[in-house]
Amino acid sequence: MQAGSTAPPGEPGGLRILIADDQPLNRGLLRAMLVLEGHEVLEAADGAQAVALFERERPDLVLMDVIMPVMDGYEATRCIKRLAGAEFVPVIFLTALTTEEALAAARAAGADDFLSKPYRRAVLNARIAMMRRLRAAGAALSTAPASSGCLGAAPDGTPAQWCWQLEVCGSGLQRVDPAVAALASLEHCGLPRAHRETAFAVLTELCNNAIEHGLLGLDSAIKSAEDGFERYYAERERGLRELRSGFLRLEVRGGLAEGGGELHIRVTDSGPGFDHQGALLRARAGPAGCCGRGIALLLGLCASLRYAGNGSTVEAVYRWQPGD
Amino acid sequence: MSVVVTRAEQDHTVRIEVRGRFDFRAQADFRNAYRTVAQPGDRFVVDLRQTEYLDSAALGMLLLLREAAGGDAAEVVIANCRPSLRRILAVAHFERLFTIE
Repeated sequence: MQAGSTAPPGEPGGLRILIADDQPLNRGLLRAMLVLEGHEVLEAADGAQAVALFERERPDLVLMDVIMPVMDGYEATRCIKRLAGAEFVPVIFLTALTTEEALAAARAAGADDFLSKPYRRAVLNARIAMMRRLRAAGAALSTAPASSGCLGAAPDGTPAQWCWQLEVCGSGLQRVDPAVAALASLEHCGLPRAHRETAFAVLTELCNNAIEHGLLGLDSAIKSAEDGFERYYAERERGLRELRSGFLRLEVRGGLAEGGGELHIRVTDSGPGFDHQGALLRARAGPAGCCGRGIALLLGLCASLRYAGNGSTVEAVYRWQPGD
Repeated sequence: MSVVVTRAEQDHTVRIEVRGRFDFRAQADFRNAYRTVAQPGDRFVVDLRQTEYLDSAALGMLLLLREAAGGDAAEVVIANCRPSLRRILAVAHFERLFTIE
């Protein structure tokens, strides 16, 4: 092991990144960009080398080409994910996935994200930063006794259908915005750009409700007082800083069909739930003053919205048609 | 996310441009636009040309702006809305309260 590899994930400092690509030119290009950011780089020229290097050096993150001699990227990723065990080691595929089948196969192998040529430094850095935050939250997750579960992509392997799951424990929520993490995943699922923006509004709304009301127990009524908005969000920030227990689980299942498709979004929090029937009634009755707009917005944007149990689980279906 | 606020003296207009995600993080800068930059009687233009996303907290901030600018007497224009953002504003029935361009 070399010095400089011990910076905890989520903290400033370089990561150890393994590049698996049979083209020396591609490796060199990526290496140059990564070294500029202070990362330490390991290189493998095929999948088998990548697995061996991973086992020996335990890098923090892997950039994986798909088509390589000896062992391809799919197989190498499966091996690496197996070796990583419960630890979340992000694998970013270096490919433009042009078919749904390729996307499903990549997700089935365990790919967490995708990057296509030409590589741009800003995009590469943004993707690595996101994976790093997820990894940091994952570390917090595995040390939290109240929660168990998985972090990362969990595909079901069926073409044109996929499933993405994330569980973040209370103390991880300050570092990871679950909706933003999910959005990165939506970029690869065939959702048209305009719908990505609306779907993101839905995700944000669902996650914020779970965080603010489920986990932090904030009362939206605060917002209607003088300077209430400021106070509400100051309390949210303080609450997140002090949150030591609880979890939020986000699952997004996507399916494409004849140019359109749908997303099934399920958010569960560990909070006590709330009067969801009353909230739905009020939201359907019309726009309220300064609060209660969130659920009304969800009702307007989603094909369906359903609360389960005491209200700490919510399921929303977002649907789009060809040409929408 | 960044909020750029400019005031044109000659036409008494405060222009608020929200770049990136328009969510609760924009709150302090956004409020600053009507609390400290605006003069009495100003009209407001909220420019969403470079806004990526909009959530219900942003809707709340727009309502607060409208209230601060005089409620029903206020002149608040929401400009440069892409269709996806316009859809969110429509779901919230904002076309009754704001001029949406």
